[in-house]
Amino acid sequence: MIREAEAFTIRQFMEQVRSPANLFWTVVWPIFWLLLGFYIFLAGIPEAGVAYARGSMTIQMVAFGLATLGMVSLAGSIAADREGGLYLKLSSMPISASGEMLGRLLGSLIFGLMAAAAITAIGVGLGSKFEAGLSDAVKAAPFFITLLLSAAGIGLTIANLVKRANAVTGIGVTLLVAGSAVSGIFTPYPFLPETLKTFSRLYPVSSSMHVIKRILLPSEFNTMRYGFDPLESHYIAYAIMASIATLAVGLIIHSAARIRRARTL
Amino acid sequence: MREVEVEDVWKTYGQGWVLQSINLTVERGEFLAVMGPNGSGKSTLAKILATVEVPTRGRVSIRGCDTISDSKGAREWLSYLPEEHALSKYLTGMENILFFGRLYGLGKGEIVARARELLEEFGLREHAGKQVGRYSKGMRQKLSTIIALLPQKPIMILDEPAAGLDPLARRELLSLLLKRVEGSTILMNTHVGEDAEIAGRVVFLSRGRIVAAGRPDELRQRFVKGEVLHVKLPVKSDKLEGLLKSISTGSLLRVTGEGYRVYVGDADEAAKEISEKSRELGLKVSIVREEPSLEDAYVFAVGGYD
Repeated sequence: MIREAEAFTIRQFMEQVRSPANLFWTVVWPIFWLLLGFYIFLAGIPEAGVAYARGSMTIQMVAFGLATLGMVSLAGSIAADREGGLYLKLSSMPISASGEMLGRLLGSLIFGLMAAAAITAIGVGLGSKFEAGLSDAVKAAPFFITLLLSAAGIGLTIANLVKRANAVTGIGVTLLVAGSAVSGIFTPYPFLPETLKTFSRLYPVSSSMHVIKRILLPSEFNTMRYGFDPLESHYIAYAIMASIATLAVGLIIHSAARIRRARTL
Repeated sequence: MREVEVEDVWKTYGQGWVLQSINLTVERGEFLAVMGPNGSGKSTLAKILATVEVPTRGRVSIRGCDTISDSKGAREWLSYLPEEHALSKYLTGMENILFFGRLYGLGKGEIVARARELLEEFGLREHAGKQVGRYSKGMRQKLSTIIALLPQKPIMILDEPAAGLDPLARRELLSLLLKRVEGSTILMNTHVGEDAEIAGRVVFLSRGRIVAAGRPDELRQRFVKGEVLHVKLPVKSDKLEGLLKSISTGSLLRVTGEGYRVYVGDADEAAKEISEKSRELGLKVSIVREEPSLEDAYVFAVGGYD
């Protein structure tokens, strides 16, 4: 399994780095919204709160970039490989199927962390501030991973339930944008209507984001009256379990599709 | 020694049979071409042999390993070149080779050494650092072939390795491939008779059934009745087609890119008649007498190119 994971990690990472579409949607597009947010949407906010509001928006755009990576880029790359005959070739080789998935996830994770670092660096460079030290950043890091893994779970599901690669990308983008719009990734959580607040707390992608925000920007939860504390143990447990469950569903569907393809009766 | 054994294999995807009662044995070191048009079941057969799909009925074994109960064992012996290229367009040629080499468990040094040799032989060395998205179709075919050759497996299953290439590029790719696979057991799918000519044995597949098998010269001698005229004309004509059918043995006629291949008892007499009739129809044709090809044999074997 190690050799398959290594091969796929390198392949997935290189593809994501070299794909102009992936770079645009996971790095350039969130940065564009960051700029738009900083200079237009947050223009009227009092000076004292601007830096943290920018920090909050930076976290939201990192979440959007990671969600794009899992729901669109990973899904699109699996679907394109399926159309390009990669799975036919793999099915004829004496290799472990789980190594493929592990490698794809690791490759996406490495790229995702780099993309997150790039978006954060731009955000900080333009005046974003966090109320966190290095130890808080370390505490928040696993939730960037759970966020990406939950998005990857959704991406895997789309990639294997939708036949055509173009349709996979289209559906991935639609779900990504719709999900982001109603879950507090685009609009701050306190501004969402009650129903959407419930959805935002439950949606695996935004639940991890809430935990990250609570660790890196604790005062936002006081000043903007979130009405719940993402650092309560039951919520942290939910955020982790929801991500793992979403990923597990995606992995099961992906494995079932591979077995079905390989053993068409 | 038997490398591949196919016993009474049937395959369906739910509507009709794609393969019917296929029985086939391939000896060690043999080069077998499976010839038939699109939809004849060639790719399905290749997928079954490559353990990618399972037969609905029957069994296949690769070096004694059953492809269902011991698919992992069977896979250790074979290398499969699917019709689709399975390449990543964002990776360079060399990176694609490294990816598959790693999957085959080869060390980086070994992969690079073999890749350099193969890239040189296939004329891709200077393109090895380019992303595959910038490769031409021919270059992609060559790269896929290199990847299939990389693990040096004793059995190669090649599904239309030269599909979509012009005749010159086809010949070049196949001769490079032949040079490399000497001593290996090869099963190659093709719909082009000229490609199948290089095989030691050819199997004609039509509508999922094997209709004939033998050496290329045997098949030509056994099936092609009479002589072959290639009637070339700039624009196809239904009237001429009707006339040619009436002249041709068994009304068999094969449409080519340039006109029609007609099968006749006496080539000189038939050429004269075609020439006169086409003049009456106001058509300018050129008539060339040609040696029977494997495709001609296929036409006779199946009663028309289906």
